[in-house]
Amino acid sequence: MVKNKLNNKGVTTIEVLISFVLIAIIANSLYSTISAYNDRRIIENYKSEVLTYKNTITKTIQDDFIKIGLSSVNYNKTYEDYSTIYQVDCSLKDGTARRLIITQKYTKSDTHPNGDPHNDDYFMIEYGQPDLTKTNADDQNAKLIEYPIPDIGSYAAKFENEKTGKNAMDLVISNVLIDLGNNSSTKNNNVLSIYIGFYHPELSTRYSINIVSPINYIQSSTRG
Amino acid sequence: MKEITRLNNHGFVLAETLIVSVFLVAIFTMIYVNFYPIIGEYEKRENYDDIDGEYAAYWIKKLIEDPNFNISQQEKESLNGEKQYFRFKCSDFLENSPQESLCINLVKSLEIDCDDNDDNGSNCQIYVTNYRIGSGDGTVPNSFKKTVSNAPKSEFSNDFKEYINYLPDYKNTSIDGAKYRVIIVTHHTKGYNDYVTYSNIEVKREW
Repeated sequence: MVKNKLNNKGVTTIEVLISFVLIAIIANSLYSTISAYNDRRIIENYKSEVLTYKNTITKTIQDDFIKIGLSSVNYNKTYEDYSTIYQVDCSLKDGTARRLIITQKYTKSDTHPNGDPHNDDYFMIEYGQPDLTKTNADDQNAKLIEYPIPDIGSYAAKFENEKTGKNAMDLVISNVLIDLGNNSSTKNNNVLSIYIGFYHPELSTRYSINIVSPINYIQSSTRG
Repeated sequence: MKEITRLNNHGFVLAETLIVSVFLVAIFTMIYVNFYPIIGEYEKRENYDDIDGEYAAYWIKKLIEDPNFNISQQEKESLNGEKQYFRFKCSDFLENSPQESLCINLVKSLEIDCDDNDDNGSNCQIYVTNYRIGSGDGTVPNSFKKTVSNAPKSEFSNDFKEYINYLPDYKNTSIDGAKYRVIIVTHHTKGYNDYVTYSNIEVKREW
C-alpha cells in the first residue's frame, strides 16, 4: 500500500502575492532590456540602409574617377521653386562626361520654416552620362540614374495654421559641400571634393557621402 | 513487503531559495559582463577600414607610388630599422612641384588628421610601414605592431593602438608584390561631425 501524504491546503494569499510581485519585477526588467535591444536593432537597420546607399553611390562615382580618370570639373548651384540644386559636370579622360545632380527640397515644417508649403520633402541624387547632343537640360539628364534616398521613416509636418501636414522624411540631405581645392593654401583647382551629409533623428549627422579625387592627375613617369 | 513513500511536501526553505537566487544572479552577471564589451568592440570596428577611408588610403598610395616621391636616408633607416615606419610628408616631393601642391590639397580634402598648425601636409597621421606589420610567431625581431604597442600615449593614441592590434600580421607576401603599407588616420569634421576613422592599404613601390 502506497501511503501518500499530500499537502492539499493550496497556496496562501501571501504566497500568491509574493509570486506576482517577483514575476512583475522580472518581467519589467526583461521588458526594458529587450526593448533597448529592439531599439538598437532598428537603429542598426537604419545604419545598414544608409551605408548601402552611401557605398553604392561612392563606388559608382569613384570607379569612374579611378578607372578612367577625371580631367576637368564644372560646378554650379541653383535655387528653383524652394529647391537647391547642385550640379557637378565632370569630363573624364576618355572624352566622356559624367553629371552629378543633388536636389534638396524641404517641406515647410518647424525645423525648416522656409521650406515649400505645398510639397513633400524631396531629396534626390542623380548620376550618369548626360546626353550633351541635346540642348535642353531635361533631355540631357534623361538617362541619368536616379538614386532616391532610403525611406527610413517620415512624419506629417504641420506649420502654423496649415490644415494638412506635408510628408517630412526622417532621413534628409542636410549639408552639401563642393570644393575644387581653390579654398586651400595652394589655391590650385586640382582636387574635387564632394560632401553630401545626411541627417536622421536617430543617427544625427554621422553618415555622409565623401567623394575626393585629384583633377587631371598624371603620375610622373620619370624620377625627379 | 509494501513500499511506503514519504514525500517531503514542505517546499524550499528561505535559505535554499536565496542561495539559488544568488547563484543565478552571479551567472547572469558574468554572462552580461562578458557579452557587453563585444558590442563596444563592434561599434569601434565601424570606424575601421570604411569605404571613405579606403579611398583616402588609395589616393595617398598613388602619391607614394609616384616616382617623384622620394624619401630621405633617415626615413629609409627608420622604415627598415627598429621603428619599422616613417611618416609621409608632402615635402618629400620636389618643392613647389605640381605633385607637392596636389599632395597638400589632397591631404586637406581627405581630412587626414594633421597637427592644427600644419598647412603643408608635413605633420599628418600617415604612416608608411613594411607590408608585414606583425612579428607573428616571433620570427621577425622588429615590427610596427611592437613599436606601436611599446610607444607612449603621446606618440600613438590608445584608439590607434587598438586598430593596429586588430589588424592581422600580414605574414604572407602580397600577391601584387607590394612591399609596403600605408596606414592613415582620418578626422571627419565636415557637417558638424567629430569622429576618427582608420584605414590601410598596401603600397607597391621600390626604395
